[in-house]
Amino acid sequence: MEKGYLCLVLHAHLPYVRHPEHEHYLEERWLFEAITETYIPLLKVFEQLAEEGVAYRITMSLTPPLLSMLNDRLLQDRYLKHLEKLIELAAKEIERTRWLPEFNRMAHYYHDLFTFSRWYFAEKCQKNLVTPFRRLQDAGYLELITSGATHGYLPLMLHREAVRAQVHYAVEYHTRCFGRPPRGIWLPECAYNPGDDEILRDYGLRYFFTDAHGILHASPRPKYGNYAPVYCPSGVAAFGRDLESSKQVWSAEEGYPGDFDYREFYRDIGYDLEYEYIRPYIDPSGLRVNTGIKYYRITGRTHDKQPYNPDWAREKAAIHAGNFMFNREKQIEYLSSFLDRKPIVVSPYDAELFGHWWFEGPQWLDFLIRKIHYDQQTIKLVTPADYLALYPRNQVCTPSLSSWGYKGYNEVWLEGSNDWIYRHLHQGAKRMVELANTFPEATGVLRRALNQAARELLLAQSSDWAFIMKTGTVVPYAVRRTQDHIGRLIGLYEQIMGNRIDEKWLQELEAKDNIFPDLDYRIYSSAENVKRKFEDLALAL
Amino acid sequence: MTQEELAKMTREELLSLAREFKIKNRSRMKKNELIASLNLVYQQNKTTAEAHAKAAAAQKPPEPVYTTGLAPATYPPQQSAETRFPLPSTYNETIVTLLIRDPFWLYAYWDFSREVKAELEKMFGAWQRTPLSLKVWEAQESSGLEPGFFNVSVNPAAGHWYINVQPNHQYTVELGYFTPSGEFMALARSNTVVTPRATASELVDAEWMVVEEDFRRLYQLAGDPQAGSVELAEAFLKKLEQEMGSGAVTSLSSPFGPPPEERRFWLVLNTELIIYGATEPTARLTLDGQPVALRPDGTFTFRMALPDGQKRIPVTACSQDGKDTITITPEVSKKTC
Repeated sequence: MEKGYLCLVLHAHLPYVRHPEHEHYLEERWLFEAITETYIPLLKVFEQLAEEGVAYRITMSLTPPLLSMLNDRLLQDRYLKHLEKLIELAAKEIERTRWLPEFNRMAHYYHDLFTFSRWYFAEKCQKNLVTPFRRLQDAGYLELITSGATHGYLPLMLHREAVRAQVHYAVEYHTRCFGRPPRGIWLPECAYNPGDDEILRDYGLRYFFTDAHGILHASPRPKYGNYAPVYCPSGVAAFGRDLESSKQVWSAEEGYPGDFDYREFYRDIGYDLEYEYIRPYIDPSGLRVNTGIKYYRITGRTHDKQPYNPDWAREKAAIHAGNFMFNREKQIEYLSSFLDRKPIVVSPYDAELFGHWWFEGPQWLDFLIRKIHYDQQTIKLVTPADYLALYPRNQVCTPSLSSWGYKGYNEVWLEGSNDWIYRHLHQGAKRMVELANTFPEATGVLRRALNQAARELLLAQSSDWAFIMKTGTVVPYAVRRTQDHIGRLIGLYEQIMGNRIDEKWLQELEAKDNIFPDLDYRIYSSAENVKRKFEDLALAL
Repeated sequence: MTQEELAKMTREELLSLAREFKIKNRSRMKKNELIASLNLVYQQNKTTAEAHAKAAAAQKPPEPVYTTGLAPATYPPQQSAETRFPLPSTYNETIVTLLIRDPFWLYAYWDFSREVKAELEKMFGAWQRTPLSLKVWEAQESSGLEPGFFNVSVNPAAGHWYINVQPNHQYTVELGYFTPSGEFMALARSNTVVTPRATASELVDAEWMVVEEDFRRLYQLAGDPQAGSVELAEAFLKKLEQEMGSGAVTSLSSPFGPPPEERRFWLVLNTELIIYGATEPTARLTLDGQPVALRPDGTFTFRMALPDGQKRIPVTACSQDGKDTITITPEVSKKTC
């Protein structure tokens, strides 16, 4: 009989990036890379395990912007084109490396990987990756949960209607994609603001997560610390992140992904190879970018990188999975020595860490799930809903405001580089609420304009823009996205209020910012009946 | 910066620009690659440089800025080719808003309506010269004590301010100014916020009683296991500063960051061999026994990385009917000294 539980949570999210106005758009590569390197490899692991009869339970959040992109025809076709180019490049690499056996093996490996991805994506999944996730959910392996409608950072929103709309549409879209309403939510950036749980309750969400201090600093003191959920006064359960297991995977210095045998992310042939040769496979402007073909291992703190050896890396992934499991067993044994119930250890990670950054991550996960299934009795994989079924009685506490960002609060998203956005976001939300209250039952063009205004606000609210401004990677892009969406929202507001909607422009926006075609602007209405309408919708589905 | 201007610069100058824009692998780029990369950055947003400068400026306490327009100095650029409605610099309303940064800091931003600005102009000559102040009301949560307040004088044109506060307290601010006689005149009142606690709660639940010793153990699992009870909270706060996740890989921007650039000078040298030629478009061609695809005009190019050593590369063309065969065998040797 197990002594405690491990809850692995993978949070999959990408901001909505789709630019029909250009044939190639650098930032669209984020999705393409994540599909090839993270989503397909993870699905492959999950499906293989299921096929072999290995029992497991994994919690996964798939955010509405990511789901929307996976559902989008234009992006699906562009991804296939992108893959075709990669397959062509990998074939050339097989030729080019014929006298370099260590590289040649990897060139074949990439060629196989890309060819497999094409088959998996185009043939097996008919270009839609939402379907295999749904299948794994229905078969009882994955518990799929949602996040904010566009991953908006909730604690920095001023209007309750804005927070509610993020939750409302997320639950609605998730239900459409997966055929059942989500039981839990991954709050964007794990950022919890006391009181937001009441909104979660209104939408039937039973649990969410906080960072470790969200629970540890809850009031009154939580009896089990991070190793059991607490109920907020609203009745929604909050699970705290375990830092020990997080550190083993996340930490740049001590974490597994930094092992010298693992693949080096920063040596990509997009940067390494001769310019004219690689030029057809990088950005059309001539800017060198990552292709995904990488031949080196981390090697050490040196620039003199050695060729990657997949056997060594695989061996390490197995060792690290064993180490992770051993540490969880010890941790749970220690906890059970003084807690009067079976503890739950919650380990959440960004899904894109697996495969994209940590190339061997999916393999590690594969080993870990197998080992937990076959090699031990102490721990069992569960989802938060499973745990709540085992322990329906929990302490009532109010968790503390917190996030999983650097320093644990709101600073990553509110500091010198990005604090200027909030007056605009707040103003945008205020006007959207005003619009929804002014026009409770709009029809025709007016209704379309109102829906589009809501889309623009949601897109502007993505926490990704503030995060990019802070980290300084593609700052101009993030600044422009914020300006564009708020600018469009204000433009629509003025046209609607002035009764002079420019239909041609509206049509352009509908085509360009086409996220959530079914969005109903009335989710911004201040009236309490929004909730009831939602319940009607849930019944209808 | 135009492409022509870039072209006139030396590679070193381009490199230092590339460093500024964090262009990856810049040190390996040729001059024309550097120009292409930089040009793209400039094209993507012509105002990048200003954005950088402004972001940097926003880190410091704002300097007094008395511009002609009404735009507060800390706003980033508003130019965007596609946007028909640029972000306004003011929304023409007198407000002040509070946001929580962490247990010790609040962020306040404000804006003025045209009427208020005109009034301030009348009183102080220019609205930017208003002796503006934030009156910060502070109350301890559920202490029953009367709320106290403190004043923070701010620069009206700054548009925002960070305020140092205490954890687990309730705050509201009033935006206002001091009259010449020293009286505070409020213009707007903010929302109310409660800062998060920075330590564990003192409140213990009778039904879910926890022994002090056990709670400390649980706390230690998250903080530093070595820390004693006194340093525990401090160790915990420090722990939060470790980058562990988040911030999200959402943007697919790096959670780990590239390795530090330790060397300033270096050289990488690779050699590749290109074999190319032409034959009848219908011919079959093999290179070292492997079939090679011809272009429609019968030309072909074959490219290989060339390591040290001796190589024989027989290239054979065979006519469509199989009657004619020609083989040419170049031999190459490469040695790196």
